Amino acid sequence: MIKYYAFFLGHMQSLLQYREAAISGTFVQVFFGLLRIYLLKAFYASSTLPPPMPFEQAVIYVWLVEATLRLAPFAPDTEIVREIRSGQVAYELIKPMDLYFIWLSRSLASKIAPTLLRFFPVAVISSLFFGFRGPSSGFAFFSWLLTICMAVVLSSVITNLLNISLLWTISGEGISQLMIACSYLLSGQMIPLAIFPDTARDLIRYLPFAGIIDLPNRFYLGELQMEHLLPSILFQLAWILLLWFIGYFILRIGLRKLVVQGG
Amino acid sequence: MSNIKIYFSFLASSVMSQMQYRASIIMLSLGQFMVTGIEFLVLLALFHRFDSLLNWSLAEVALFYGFIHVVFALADSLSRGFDVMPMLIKTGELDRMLLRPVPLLLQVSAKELTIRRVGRFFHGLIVAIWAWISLGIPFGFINILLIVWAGLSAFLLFQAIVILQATLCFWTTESIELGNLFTYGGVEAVQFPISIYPLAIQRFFLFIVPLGAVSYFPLVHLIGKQSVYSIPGWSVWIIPLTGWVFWLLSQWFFSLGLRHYTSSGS
Amino acid sequence: MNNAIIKVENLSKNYFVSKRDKGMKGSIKGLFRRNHVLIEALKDISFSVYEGECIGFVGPNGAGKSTTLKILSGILTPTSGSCTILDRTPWKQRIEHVKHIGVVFGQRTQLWWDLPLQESFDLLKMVYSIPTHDFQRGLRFLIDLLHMGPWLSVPVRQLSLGLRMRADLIASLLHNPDLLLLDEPSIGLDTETKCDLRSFLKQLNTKKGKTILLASHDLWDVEALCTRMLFINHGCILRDTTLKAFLSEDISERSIKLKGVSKLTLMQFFPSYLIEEQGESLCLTIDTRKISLKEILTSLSSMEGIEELIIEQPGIEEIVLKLYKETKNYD
Repeated sequence: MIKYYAFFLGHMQSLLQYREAAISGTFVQVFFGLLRIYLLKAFYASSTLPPPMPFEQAVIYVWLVEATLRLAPFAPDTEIVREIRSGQVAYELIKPMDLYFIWLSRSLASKIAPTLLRFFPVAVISSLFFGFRGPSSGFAFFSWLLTICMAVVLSSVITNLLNISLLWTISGEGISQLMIACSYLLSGQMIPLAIFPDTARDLIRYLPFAGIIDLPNRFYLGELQMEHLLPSILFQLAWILLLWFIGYFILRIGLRKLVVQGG
Repeated sequence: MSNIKIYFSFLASSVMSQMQYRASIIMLSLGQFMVTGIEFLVLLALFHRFDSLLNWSLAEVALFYGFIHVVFALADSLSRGFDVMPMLIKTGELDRMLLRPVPLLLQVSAKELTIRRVGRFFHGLIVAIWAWISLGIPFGFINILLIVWAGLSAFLLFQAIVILQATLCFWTTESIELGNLFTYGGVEAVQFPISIYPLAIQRFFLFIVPLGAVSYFPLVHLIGKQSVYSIPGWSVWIIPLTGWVFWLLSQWFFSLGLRHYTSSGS
Repeated sequence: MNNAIIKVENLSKNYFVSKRDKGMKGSIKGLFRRNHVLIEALKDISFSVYEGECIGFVGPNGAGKSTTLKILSGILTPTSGSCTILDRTPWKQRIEHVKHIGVVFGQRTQLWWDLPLQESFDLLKMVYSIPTHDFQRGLRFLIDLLHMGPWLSVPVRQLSLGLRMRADLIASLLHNPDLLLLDEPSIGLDTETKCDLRSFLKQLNTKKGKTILLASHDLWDVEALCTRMLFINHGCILRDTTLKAFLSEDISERSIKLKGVSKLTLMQFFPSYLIEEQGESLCLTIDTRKISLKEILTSLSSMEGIEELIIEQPGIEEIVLKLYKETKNYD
């Protein structure tokens, strides 16, 4: 356990150095957030049909997305990509479970560190000028925090699947690209999931991606109440466990293939 | 003339060297195609939920969308040299380019034609053609000429932004990511008719980074819609010149940067 | 009389190197307060190179060799002074100038990394607008001479250093330049390749009449190829002589290697001299300023049992080393 914690801390430290990138990243995210809000505003203004959520709430949702952008699966870990490409992975004669957890620690750090750096600048700027507001109640805040923590783990597990898929060099690249795009769409980062057609939206909410961004956001906005908390946590937990097991088994297969092929 | 020949030969050899990794390129291009395609799904969802975007229909918005993605895909696939400018300087490759009797700017821009970025091209093209047909725009020579003229201008504008960002590398060693804001941000904004945005943003994309001007006016003219800004019809052909102006400006700025680079030593 | 191909007059190059703190704070600070250090890379140097010469450009690292070569290539502009190569100013007429010189920078290649060697050559043919007939004839000649035939379809990244160097040489000669600038061409090469390279360059110079400027740490290369030497340190040219004159530089140290006498005997005859054991021989180091060779030999001739006697002339390395030491503290 301690070993993984050390990996985690190490990676956190190296990522927290990127302060300048965080500052410029803040401006970029505020800009993109604004564009999205103005787009939604135009749609809201001209629509004759009832909207899925009040505009002000959509605004808060968009800012939450921008502030927590780095929580979601973004890209495969470049260090791990390098290890795989150079074949170094084959030389690590450790058990698959070990490797899985080492990679998971890296994923966790790569989600938490950038978010810590970027959340507050984005939140502050957007609340001062662009309509971001605090959570609707104490419970909203607490439940949001709780589901966010679960979301980080969920997102890391998915990212780990990305990393693992890269053991198959060619198809892995395509798969990880696709997974990232799907995650971006299905987590609610492109537009709030509520905007999708009702049936589609309900289906999407069964997928793990929704648990990363959409779910915590709904708690924040007060859309989900006390009675939804436990089922939601269990939902996230179930996907975490399922994807963890799948990831682990695929990793075993992948490593075996590497050993057979000679790296 | 021979410089143009050199430009295309360099690009051709770049394509050939990428083709060594054929399977990977195909996979990545397909991936890009689907990734950008997903963005269009969002557009569809929005129109399904909200019915209309101010007074724009789906097909009209799709034309803007397809147009900018086609142009950006091409510009993006040809901007790799500028993206890696800091590395070119650090490894000394820029110096080796200076040893060849070919203008430096040409060599940097011909360094690579990134095939996989073309995935976006096909996606945009399909959307644009669908929109064109749905809107019933005649396939006349003048119309085609106009859209190509506008597209070329937008392409040059994207290149200019990328060149300007790369030129900064002649002065600082750290690359400044601001250019990405204008290119990716520009695409994000201008894929919709800019009239839907508040005035401040409209003005930004009309006068400062005129991606909006170069797309809005020609496309509105093609669709036959009433423009928010009343301008004479023929100016539709003049406005795309802004792309050329920016492009020429960026070349001049680049030569300035190069002069600084060669006198300050590497 | 040969023409001066290169005319360098009072060339100086100064750089400002800014010392800046790291990170964003440093960048912002750097905008307001410039903490600049002046480096004088070249101080008012002058020399000329004539058609058909092969010049050795020698000096320690940081002496100004690379700076000079960069200015001669046209990729660096000097702070003051003039330089004319083939009646052109390199940095002012870069594109035209570069068409008439060949440059090889030892560590880095001019070729396209991922492409087969032949492709690089074909691209260069186009870049230099070489007529097809001349190109094919020239390429054939160079490939045969450097034995590069079997490697034409191999991507450059797969070539060993020795092969890559040969390929770079070919690339620099495709457009038949009259002037060749070489910066450390034999760095990292094995002995056999170095020998091949040396004979190739010798041929280029003597048979094809090409003017060569060779900057190198490998003094054996310089000795074998060059007729003239420029020694540079701290941005100044300290010696500009023919190789012959350079080798007869006044070095007072001589080493005498002896076999057949015991160390004890030798020490009796030459009590205050440095005597070292080198394998089976003894090495006696004398200073000819303090004692003439004649005196030494007279003493030695009275010794019995000497089987072998070698008097070593200082080689180019010793001379250069001495110069390095002497000029270390110039500024």
